[in-house]
Amino acid sequence: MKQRNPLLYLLWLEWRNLLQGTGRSRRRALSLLVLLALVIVPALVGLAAIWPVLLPLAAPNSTAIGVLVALSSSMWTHGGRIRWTAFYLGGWVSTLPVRSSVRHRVIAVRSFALSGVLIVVLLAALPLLNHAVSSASALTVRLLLTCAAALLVGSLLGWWLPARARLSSASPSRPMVLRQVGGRASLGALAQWGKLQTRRWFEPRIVSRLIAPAMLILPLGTSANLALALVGLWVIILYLLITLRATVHVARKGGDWLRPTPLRPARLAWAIGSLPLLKQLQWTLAAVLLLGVLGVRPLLAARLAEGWLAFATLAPTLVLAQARGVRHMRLRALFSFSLLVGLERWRSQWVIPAAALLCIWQLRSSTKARI
Amino acid sequence: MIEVILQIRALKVGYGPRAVLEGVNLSVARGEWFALLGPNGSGKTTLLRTIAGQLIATSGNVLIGGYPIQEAPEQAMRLLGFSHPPERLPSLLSGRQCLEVYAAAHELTEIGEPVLALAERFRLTSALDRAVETYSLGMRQKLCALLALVNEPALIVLDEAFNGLDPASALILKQELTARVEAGRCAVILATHALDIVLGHANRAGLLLDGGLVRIWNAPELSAMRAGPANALEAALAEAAFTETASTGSERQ
Repeated sequence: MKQRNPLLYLLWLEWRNLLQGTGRSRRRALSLLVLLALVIVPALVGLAAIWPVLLPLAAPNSTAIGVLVALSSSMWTHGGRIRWTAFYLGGWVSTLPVRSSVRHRVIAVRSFALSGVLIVVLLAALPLLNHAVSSASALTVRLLLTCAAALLVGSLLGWWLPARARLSSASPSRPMVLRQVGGRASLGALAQWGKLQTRRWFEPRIVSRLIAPAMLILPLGTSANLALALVGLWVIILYLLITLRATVHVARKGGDWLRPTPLRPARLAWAIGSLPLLKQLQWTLAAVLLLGVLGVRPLLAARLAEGWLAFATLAPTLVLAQARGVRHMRLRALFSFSLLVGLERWRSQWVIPAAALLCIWQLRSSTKARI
Repeated sequence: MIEVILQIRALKVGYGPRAVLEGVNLSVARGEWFALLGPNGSGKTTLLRTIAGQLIATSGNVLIGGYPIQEAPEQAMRLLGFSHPPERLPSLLSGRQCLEVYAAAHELTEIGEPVLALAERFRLTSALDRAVETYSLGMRQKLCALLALVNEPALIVLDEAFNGLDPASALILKQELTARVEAGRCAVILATHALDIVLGHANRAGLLLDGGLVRIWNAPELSAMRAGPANALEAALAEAAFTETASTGSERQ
């Protein structure tokens, strides 16, 4: 019998099971494929539509874009290498009697996978984008090939970077002593949870990595004030995204954890979401001010802020409703976000009230379909 | 008069097209400790999660204190104390914060003195102000047990709650549950593989096999097993499982 690499065979089985799985996993795989089709195809069509506008802006900065792409791909490839090395040397397959070169090969496959897929997508998009701007096809080819080359070079760099010792995310780096006495019943800790989660994900180590791309794309000769405003805006955007991610995480985990209690969904949502929403409001206002400094029209900045706040309010509520057992959540989410996008386009003043009403709708459904 | 706390009628639960539980009927009264036995994958956790309202039954009813968990979840959950698997605890909160949140969720003004006293007996008090992520498995298990007792529940649902507990803490938890059961304060339903707990503490035990409760042993039967040879319950379990398998096989033929 032909000897096969057991780890590659395992990888193949994982993918096969994902795509051919039975019952729930098959449904999940089908949903994933449909979702991918619904995202990738419209994204490519949309990109082709705005390509005539985008190309003149992007082509002169192709080097900066290439550097940014290379940096990003080096970061995710390096992260993947650390993660998959930890898995293959410490996980359940670590005791398998396979040569180290075999392990090395499978770690490489997994670490380079994302860059590989992106290179394929870029090359596949080439004819479409060429067709969109047939008069400047050389520029399109140059830009896309730059990106593809940057992905490749960045990945190789990320792979060869020396691996540093990395703290596990689950390690007890900060045994938080919060209070020594007392036992008053309170949901306050739920707001605390979101804050702690944001702090965990917004660590200086991570932020410093994420700021690097923003610093790199600043053109030479940019004034200090403008550079500060741009980097500041970038940090605020990161903070807003991470806060939302943390709120969604807490909504999911907390909703699940407190499901066997008589706690009402509206009360739970308020406990989890009020403080993060306040933070979102504060920092979105700060972002609007910085956008103003950068010369963005106040009306446009306000609309962006409005859209973001509506999204940041609705997303955790949807997740909470899902955690409390509300059915047809995909349809609800699709309807809710489509409605918000539609209102943003035609009746932007209604976006925030509509988001509030949609939140109430989700919470009412959660109360009715508690289990 | 016997007060039935948990009543399950013709329960059917499935994951997608696969039925995990089918035709389960069970009543547990206040002052009763019911042990749920069965091989891995027989549906014990599914049954307990359905009782706790975490899974929706395809058909049938679960009533806690007379309240159907699907139609009147709030009333039913006021009577319920459910011990989560330890990995589901929020790792960034402290143990005390978890207790506070649970107490608030049950609309209490503070964490009850019995729960804090039990934490003290578990030697967990000094760890209560540390983040849960710094806890060992046993400490998390103790916290899960404390959370299940926060609201002085009429029905305590425990899934393998003694796994990872040190012998002294396991004994304390058994004593606490026994005291509550004997005082008629609650009923306990415990899924376990530890037959010593079944023989030492349970009033009734049921064997769940292939999604159905195939055999229930009552208090006199369990007493007889206690008095009998050391492996009496194991033998009874094996016999019940064999009888069930044989009858299923003959039905198929």
